[in-house]
Amino acid sequence: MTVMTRRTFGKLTLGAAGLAAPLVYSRNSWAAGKQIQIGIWGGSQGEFVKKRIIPAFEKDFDCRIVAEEGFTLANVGKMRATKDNPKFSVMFIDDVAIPICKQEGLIAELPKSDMPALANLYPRFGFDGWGSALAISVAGLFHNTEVTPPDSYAALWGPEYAGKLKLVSPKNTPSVFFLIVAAALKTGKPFAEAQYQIDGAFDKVAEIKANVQNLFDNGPQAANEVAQGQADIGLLELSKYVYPYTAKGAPVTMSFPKEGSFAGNNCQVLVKNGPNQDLAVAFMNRMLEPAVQKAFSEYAFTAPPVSGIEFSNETLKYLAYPVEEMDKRGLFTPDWEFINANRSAWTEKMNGIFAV
Amino acid sequence: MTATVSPWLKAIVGVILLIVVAPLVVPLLMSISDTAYIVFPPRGFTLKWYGEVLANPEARGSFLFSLELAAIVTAISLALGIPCAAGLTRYRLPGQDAILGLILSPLIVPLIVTGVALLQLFSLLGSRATFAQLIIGHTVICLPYVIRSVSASFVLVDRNLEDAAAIMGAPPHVVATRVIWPQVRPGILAGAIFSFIVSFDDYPISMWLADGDHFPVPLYLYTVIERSFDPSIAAISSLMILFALLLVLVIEKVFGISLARLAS
Amino acid sequence: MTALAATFAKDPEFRGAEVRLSRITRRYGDLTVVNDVDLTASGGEILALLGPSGCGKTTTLRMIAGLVAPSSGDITIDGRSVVGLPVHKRNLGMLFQNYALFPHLTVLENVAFGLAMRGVSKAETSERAREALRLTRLGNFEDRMPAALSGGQQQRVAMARAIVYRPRVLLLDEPFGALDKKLREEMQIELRQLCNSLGLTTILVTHDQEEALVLADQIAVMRDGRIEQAAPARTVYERPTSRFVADFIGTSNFLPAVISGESGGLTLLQGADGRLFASAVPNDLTAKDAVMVAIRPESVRLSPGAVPAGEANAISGPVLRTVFKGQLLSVWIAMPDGGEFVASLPIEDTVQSNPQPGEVWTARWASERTLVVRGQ
Repeated sequence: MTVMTRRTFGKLTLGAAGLAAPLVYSRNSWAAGKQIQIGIWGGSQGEFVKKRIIPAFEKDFDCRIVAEEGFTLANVGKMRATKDNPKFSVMFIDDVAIPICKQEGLIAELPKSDMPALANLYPRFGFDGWGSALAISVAGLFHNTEVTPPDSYAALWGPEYAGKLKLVSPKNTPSVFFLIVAAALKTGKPFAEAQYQIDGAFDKVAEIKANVQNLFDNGPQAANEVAQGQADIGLLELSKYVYPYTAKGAPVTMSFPKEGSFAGNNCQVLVKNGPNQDLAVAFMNRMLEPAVQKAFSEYAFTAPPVSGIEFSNETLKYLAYPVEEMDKRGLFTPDWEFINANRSAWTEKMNGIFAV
Repeated sequence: MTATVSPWLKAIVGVILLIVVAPLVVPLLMSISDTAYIVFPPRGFTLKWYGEVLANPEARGSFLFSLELAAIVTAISLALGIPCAAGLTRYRLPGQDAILGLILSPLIVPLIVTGVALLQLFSLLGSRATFAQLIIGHTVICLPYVIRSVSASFVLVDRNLEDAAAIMGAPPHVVATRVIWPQVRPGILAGAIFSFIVSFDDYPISMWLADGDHFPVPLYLYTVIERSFDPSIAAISSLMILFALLLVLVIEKVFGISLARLAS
Repeated sequence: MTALAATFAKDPEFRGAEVRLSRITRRYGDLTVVNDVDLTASGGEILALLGPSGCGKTTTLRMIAGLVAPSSGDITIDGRSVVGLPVHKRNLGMLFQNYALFPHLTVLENVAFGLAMRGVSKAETSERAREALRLTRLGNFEDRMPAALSGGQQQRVAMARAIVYRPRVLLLDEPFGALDKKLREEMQIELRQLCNSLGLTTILVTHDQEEALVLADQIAVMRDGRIEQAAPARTVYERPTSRFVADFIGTSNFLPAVISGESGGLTLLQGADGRLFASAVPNDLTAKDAVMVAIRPESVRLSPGAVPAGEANAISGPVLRTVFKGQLLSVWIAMPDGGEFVASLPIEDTVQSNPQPGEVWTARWASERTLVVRGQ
């Protein structure tokens, strides 16, 4: 039916052996022949999960992991549509959606005793046991390397940036970061307080309109356009969409103004009543193991949510790691429950302001 | 046939063709750029992106899977759609309008809604057969195109020709093959092409029903765009454009139906 | 055309079949479209089914063809019942109003179709189809597509196609409706000659009384699903049995009257205002029947002055208007009861006597031209 057989994957896993945990084979025999479906992200992270992590795991456990690349909202939609008879066992979603999934009864609590790798997880990425982060990106500005970025977001409202900015579309999660920035600038308060005052900040949002060349909803494409000089600066986007270009030599990179940066947390959740839960838990544990986390982070330029991983200085340029570095950079995680409740109203207001 | 075409008309047709074709040329040009990211106009010349795409088992797998899916869906849509269109146009049936409305309804609802509804239904039924689900899902959205285009050709069938043939001694199966078929063939071919392309290009239905083993090209393309925006995306797009072109040429050669006739 | 007849003469067995309809009825739900029709077309005869639209003539033809099944009654061709016999086994030929040529086949392929269906060898099919086309004067058009032909040429292809396999019966459904008048008249004559020389039994549906008169040996006038009158063409014209027939074929002045007696082969009638009529045309009507006297305008002679009292088969009154129609002059005379009476004079006669509006003139006609018809 399809050529994406297990064997072909095997050929692709060059050097993937290092990702296999040093476990004794016989201990995993319970999983032999089992299969689960998981929903992952697209992008370079998805590529790495599919080509490197899964083949090694399948080999160790003699099982089959069928991974479908998607995105957070689609993955939540699939969990909703198959709630009574789940098709997926593990879902990769952004932290923004975890409260929703929990509320709707789509996900199960992680069984701590069966997941030794949870021991090293920073508590802030544990979501009270309803999932774990897998990768932390930092959201900030991305700009053409020939442009000197401002050290404060406030400068982007100035006339010298007229028509030179690309703004993230209200459809995308980083749009919320932009609203928090606008509220912070208006009120002079830090992000943690400003996020509750977004409703009063839309006059500030409207003021930037003259500087915005257009809205973008595909981060990699926007980064590509900035690299080509079609715009000077894009705001805001997660580092994982931008740094892969930087590393390839494209003239685009990120900068993080003094007001602080945002954490974009890519997470995994366990689908409630999903097939073969034991295998699903084993896979989620594998995702958090140090060897996997190191390679995954280096490939996608994201920070691991677990402690004790060593990176080269070259890599550390792109990562906010370890947790002390995150705090130093003022990495902020919004109150998603509050934000989700207001998001659609804000999206409408944004559409009203930026409608052509 | 022999009427002279005014130069103005020619010019207007030329401009329209240019507007239609120009956007298709852009990815072709971008795909040969020797840069790590997409630029237009292209810089340098290389065919390595095509090599990369063609050598990539994921891309090949998705492409072959989409081909297989579209072919099966088209065959089923024709098998169901031709008798249905014939029945709806050649006989007065009770509830005819309701039947037609039901068949066309997947095109009225946003496809993304149809897709999630199907996923929910299959989940309730306890079905895990992804391939069958995709075939059913695509058939649901391809069937309306087949039925619309085939119905249109059946409506135009001259019933007098069938009577004439029967009177001259043609038994019903000969009437069907020698009189009705030549009249409805263009409509059926048009329906088949629509069906194939709708299935081949479908994103919203596949997005809900596909899994990692059954991953059609449009889904693959989307994930690749997220991975990195390099010229290999333009290469895949170009290959899809060339494939569609090839499809049209093959149909012209093999079936001897000119596109002009399809359009009329 | 005679050459074509010669080719058919190669088959000495050939003769047109007799078609007989017995008590044929066709209903659609509550609607009876054809009602208890008895009709016979003898071998080699041309029969016209004539009537206004909706009279059931086309349905009758389609029942003969087998395209519509009768609700009751029997149809025989050469004595053999064909009810239940599928269309393609009836060995008929048919000409359609829109010719029904296959647009995807060439002229030659169209003509060859019926032969191919009969399992005639390829070589013979081709030879006979070419011959039929030559004989319908379309020899140079073999490879054309029908769409590239004029209406008259298409009609000839349809004709060649219908007769090339020598059907026993030829059915024509308003075959000349789409042609202009001059071409139509030409084709009518050609068809008549063709059918006569081939000895084909031909059944023609038309609403055009002139076409029926030109083409047919027998005319069956239909009205509301029934046969109103079936008789040789000339009889239908000269001796219509009902007001409907007299009105549909030709034009007539209708004068109300009652049969008052019979004398020396003449039917005597009494009209309004004490008018008297005598008819020498045979009829089977009695004093009890509601009848009318019908006078064809061309049967009338005109003379100046008023009619003497008591004269039969005459009417007089002031001329209302005259209309010049080429060979004829139509003259309208006002009758005392307010009606109008129309007479047609041959144009040569008007040299002698030229009626002018306002003058009183008398119309007279022979008892042989006094028609007595059923109706009111």
